[in-house]
Amino acid sequence: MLRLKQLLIDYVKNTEQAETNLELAIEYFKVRHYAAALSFFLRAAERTNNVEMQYFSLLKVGKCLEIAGNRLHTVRAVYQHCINILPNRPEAYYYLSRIYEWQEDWTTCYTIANQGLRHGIADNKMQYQELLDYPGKYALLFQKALSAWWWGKNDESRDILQDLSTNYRNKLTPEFKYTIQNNMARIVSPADSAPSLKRYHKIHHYDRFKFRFDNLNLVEESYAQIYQDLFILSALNGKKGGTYLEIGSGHPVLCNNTYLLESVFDWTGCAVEINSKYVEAYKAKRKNQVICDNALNIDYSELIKSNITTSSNIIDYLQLDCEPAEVTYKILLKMPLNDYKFRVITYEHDYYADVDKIYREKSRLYLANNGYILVVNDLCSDYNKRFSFEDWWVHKDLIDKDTLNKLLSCNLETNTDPDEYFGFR
Amino acid sequence: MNFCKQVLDAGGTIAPLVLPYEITKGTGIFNPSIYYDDFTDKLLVNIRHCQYVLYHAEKEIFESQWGPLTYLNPENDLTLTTNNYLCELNKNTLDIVQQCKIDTSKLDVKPIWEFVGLEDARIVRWENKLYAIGVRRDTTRNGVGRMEFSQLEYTDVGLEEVKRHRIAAPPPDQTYCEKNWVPIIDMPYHMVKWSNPTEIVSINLETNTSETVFLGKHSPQPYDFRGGSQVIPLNNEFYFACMHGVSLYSSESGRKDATYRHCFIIWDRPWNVIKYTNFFSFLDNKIEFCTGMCYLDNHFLLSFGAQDNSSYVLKVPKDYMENVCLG
Repeated sequence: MLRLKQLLIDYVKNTEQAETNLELAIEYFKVRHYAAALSFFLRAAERTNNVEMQYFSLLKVGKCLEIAGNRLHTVRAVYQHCINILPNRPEAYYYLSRIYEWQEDWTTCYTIANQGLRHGIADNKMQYQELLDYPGKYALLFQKALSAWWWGKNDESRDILQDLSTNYRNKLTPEFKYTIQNNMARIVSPADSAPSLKRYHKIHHYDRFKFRFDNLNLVEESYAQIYQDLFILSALNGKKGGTYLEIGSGHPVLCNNTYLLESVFDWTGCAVEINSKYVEAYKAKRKNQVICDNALNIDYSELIKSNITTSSNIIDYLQLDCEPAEVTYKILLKMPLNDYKFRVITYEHDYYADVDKIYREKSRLYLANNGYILVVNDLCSDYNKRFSFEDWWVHKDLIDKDTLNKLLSCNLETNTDPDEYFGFR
Repeated sequence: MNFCKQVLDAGGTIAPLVLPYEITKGTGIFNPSIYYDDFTDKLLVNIRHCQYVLYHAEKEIFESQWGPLTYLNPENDLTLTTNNYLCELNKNTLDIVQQCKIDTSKLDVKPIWEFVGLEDARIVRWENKLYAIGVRRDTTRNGVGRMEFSQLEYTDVGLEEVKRHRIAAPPPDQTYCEKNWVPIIDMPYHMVKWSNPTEIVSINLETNTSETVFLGKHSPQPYDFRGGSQVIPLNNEFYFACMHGVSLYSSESGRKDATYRHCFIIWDRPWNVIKYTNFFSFLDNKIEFCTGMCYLDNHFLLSFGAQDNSSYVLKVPKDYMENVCLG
């Protein structure tokens, strides 16, 4: 309050000077008296010939109104003033595009973000720049990606997000990193890319299938996102009565890796899922056990001991599929790999969405050190193989050597298209 | 030169009044009414909080789409809802040391007009009863305004409105809106209803009626005088108050704008106007409104709002004020 009082006195002595108005406005903003801040920012803007001060002050006017809430028509007009004052600065485009985002006016949001990227190219720091929460060009790119998605420009949206996570990861604020990661997972994830339940049902595909296994004739369709169920059966030669531990089961049928195993091959096992809706559906549709919990909180030795019948402490299949990448990796570290061995593991590293780009390599090192062999790397669900999200592993001692040689298709230089891998394409 | 600068030059001070964000949510606090309560030895100020923000492009350069002077309500709430916070000030620093929302819930009825709550309440204690006296317009479907006495009592948990009196205008009580009547601090239940010509009314809380007990002569002035601070004694010989005048006009593009200016009016004890001071601005803002004045420790304290967004207390040395008013 002392500084506010002093700045008020300075203002009283020179009420028409833009700087005294601005300093007082900034201090009011700091003590969160936003209505007062607005008045003095507006006075500053109207009392200076310095366009950068006008621009900054009006951006803050908009910010005050944003905080007061629910006055978006006026906020929009204020940011439009800013764009007209300094059309080569990016901040106002960013703020304005966010207003349209909140109003779900995606076409305008996209247009403004795009205009900002084209015209708002000034990157010199203005006075008081640090008081603007404009993170950088990537913020406009994110606005464009987001609005592009909702406008139906899905490929463009995916490309921008990929660009952000690849080329901007060292610049992102933690908040943006989190946001981008979440959105990558949401709009690029194969789970949301209209998976077909009928992939394997097509008979001409069936003929092309590269890996023959016992009881293949029982398989009418693959329920998994990218044929994980077929990979497991291929690795274990169509084993009946196998066992599994499924972390992050999701829907009990749709895009589910174990539904085929349970329903046709009589496997037993236990699933863990955090989403109670999926758990309820699982209980209704499936015979095997499901636990509703956060997979990070579980003692897996206890869970296996209580819920999975093992022979020689071997379990046939482990699914690790949570989000984001860091979480899946932490769950991997909780697995009792010294006490139990898994014949097949599908590990979702979500590399496409991992802004840090570290968890895929960490998981690979960890699994290799525990005796597992990477059989297929960087599987993608998209035709262009841009968004790799999963690796498939087997234990070196628990898989038939000939089978392993047939399945082995590891090339760390390229991503893998599952249709190509299985011979469907 | 603005009045605050003159006061600072004369050895006075100014202090901002700030309520926590958790109360204001970023919107305006204004029209504060200061009062020294010798009954409790507390320096009080009532602050009005509304859910709008005033956007005033005074130089008409960066107008909103609705013009230079715009009351920005939430876009899903077009009511003008007032809440009042009675605060205690530190007598030396003038900082708020305690704020208490006036709990009106026991006497509230469902509002039936858009302006909700007691507006521009002035604080006064008469006969050991503490009152916030303002205008309420939410009791009729067309917004008829009448002065209301809100009797306040501190409780264990806060501050409560315990009685409410809606005061009829003097007969025939047919006006649309009565507001800005200001209490004469040492004449219980008497208020200056209008100050050019001076009209003094007596209030009867038994009957909730008012009666004109003095009517002076009109004096040509540049503004229509409207109410302002409480009326308080000056020098044992006079009364005075800080009153405001409004100039309403249109911007070049025909949209509304306004300027508020103040002056002091000095009366002798028989209520003849001794002097109107020159009109002045407190802070060189176009919208300013003084709704409180009291005397404490050789200073006059004036409380006023600026642009309906912020509130201040100005501490004026007694000698300087006497010179302004009587010199």
